[in-house]
Amino acid sequence: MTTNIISIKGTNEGIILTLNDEAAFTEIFKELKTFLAKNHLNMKSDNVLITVKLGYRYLKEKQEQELRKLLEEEYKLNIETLESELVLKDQVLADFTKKQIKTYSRVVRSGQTISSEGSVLLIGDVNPGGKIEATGNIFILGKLLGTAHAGIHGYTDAIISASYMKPTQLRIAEYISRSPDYESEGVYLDYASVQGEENKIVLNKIRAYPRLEKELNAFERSLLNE
Amino acid sequence: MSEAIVITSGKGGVGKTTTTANIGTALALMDKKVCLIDTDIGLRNLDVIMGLENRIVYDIVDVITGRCRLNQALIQDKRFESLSLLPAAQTSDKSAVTKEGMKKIVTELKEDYDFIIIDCPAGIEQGFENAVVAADKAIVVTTPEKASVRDADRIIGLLEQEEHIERPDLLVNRIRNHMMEDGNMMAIDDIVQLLSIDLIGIVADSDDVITASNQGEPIAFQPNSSVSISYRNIARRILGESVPLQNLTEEKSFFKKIKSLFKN
Repeated sequence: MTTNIISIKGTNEGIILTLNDEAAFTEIFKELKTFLAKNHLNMKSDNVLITVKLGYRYLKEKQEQELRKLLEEEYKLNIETLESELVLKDQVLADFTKKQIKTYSRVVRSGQTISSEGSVLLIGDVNPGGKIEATGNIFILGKLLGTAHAGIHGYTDAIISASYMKPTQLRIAEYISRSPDYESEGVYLDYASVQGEENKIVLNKIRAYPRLEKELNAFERSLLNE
Repeated sequence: MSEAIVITSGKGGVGKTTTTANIGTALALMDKKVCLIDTDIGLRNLDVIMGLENRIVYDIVDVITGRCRLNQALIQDKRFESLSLLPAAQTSDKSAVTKEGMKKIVTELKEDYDFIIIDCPAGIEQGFENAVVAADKAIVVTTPEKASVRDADRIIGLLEQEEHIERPDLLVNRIRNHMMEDGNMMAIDDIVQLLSIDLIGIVADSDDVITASNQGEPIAFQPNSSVSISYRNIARRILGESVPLQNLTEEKSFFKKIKSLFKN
């Protein structure tokens, strides 16, 4: 059942309604209404699932309400999803910041926190009692003596790396490791990541980082773009 | 050009008040007009260390609430004409001191004095904010102990947010040389590196400081003691002179020198 601007297909999973994304919404809505009135789908059960494919159309809130009212209330169809190929600007920006590296240049002192979306590059030290956290990776050109938390929203592949590491605590996603209770020397040019079957936070030399090349290329690019 | 300097530390008991009294005295010895302000309401000590406790009639709260004029509350030092003290209140309500009140007092004092040195209470609450609000410069006092350095770091962070204050300077107080040599105390270099601010002076831990404070006579008066020289050096650095850091190691006897040779 197809007209110029709408098409309806029945499948095992339910009905798929495709709306042409080049026509005006009012036109489509009118067409849909007459179409449904003409071919009144005589539903046996109330809960027929329908998937609405919107193509590259952006539905305004009011338009979505109208559509839902028509399908759900008048024809007792159960809208499963409203699929749109469109990616919203906010979504794109959010994805973009996730991949971005934000640069700070300061000392993070006791009681201070740097919190960042995406990865963070700190030029300076994190003193004991200070905290640095990011949804992505953490790179520190300086001493990490306080707490660092990478992948705060659960990204377990995140890494924390620093020129000098003697942290109070390292956290990656939900994993925590703390410094030993005895006085210990710090390590130079190491990175921390979650590894092994036990999912422990492990320190390794930066030059041994397998993903380094890929990550650093992306990093370089983002610095050049700034 | 007059300057208001706040002496602060975060942690209590590291020697803020002693430092205030001695830097004030040392500056006064160099013919500067100095006014000390004690902002530790309820726990005033500066007057005791200066030996001026018995002369207090009015205090800072009286000035702020308008019970007296600023000049009436100022106490002139018994040794110098150029040194005065504005004492804290011992009994009045802490909340009487406001930021505006402090600003007004300091601006008024700046007309008559070269240096206004503000003794800050311990902690980071209202008292700290009041002490800091009118300052142009800050000296952060710390001892070579972890807890004290940690608090100093916190305080520096807070001071950096106050835009009217220059980058604070660091004073490392109560250095015990033998402990530092044995590696049981944080080394000065490590402290400066961690806090990453400029060092304005180091002061050794000495029994004489306590004796002098108990007598109400700041140690900076004594002409020859090592601690006194430390404070005078700090005063000279505040005035812009470049003075090398003192060597705090004691003169070793011949026998000790031989002993240390074997140690290494």
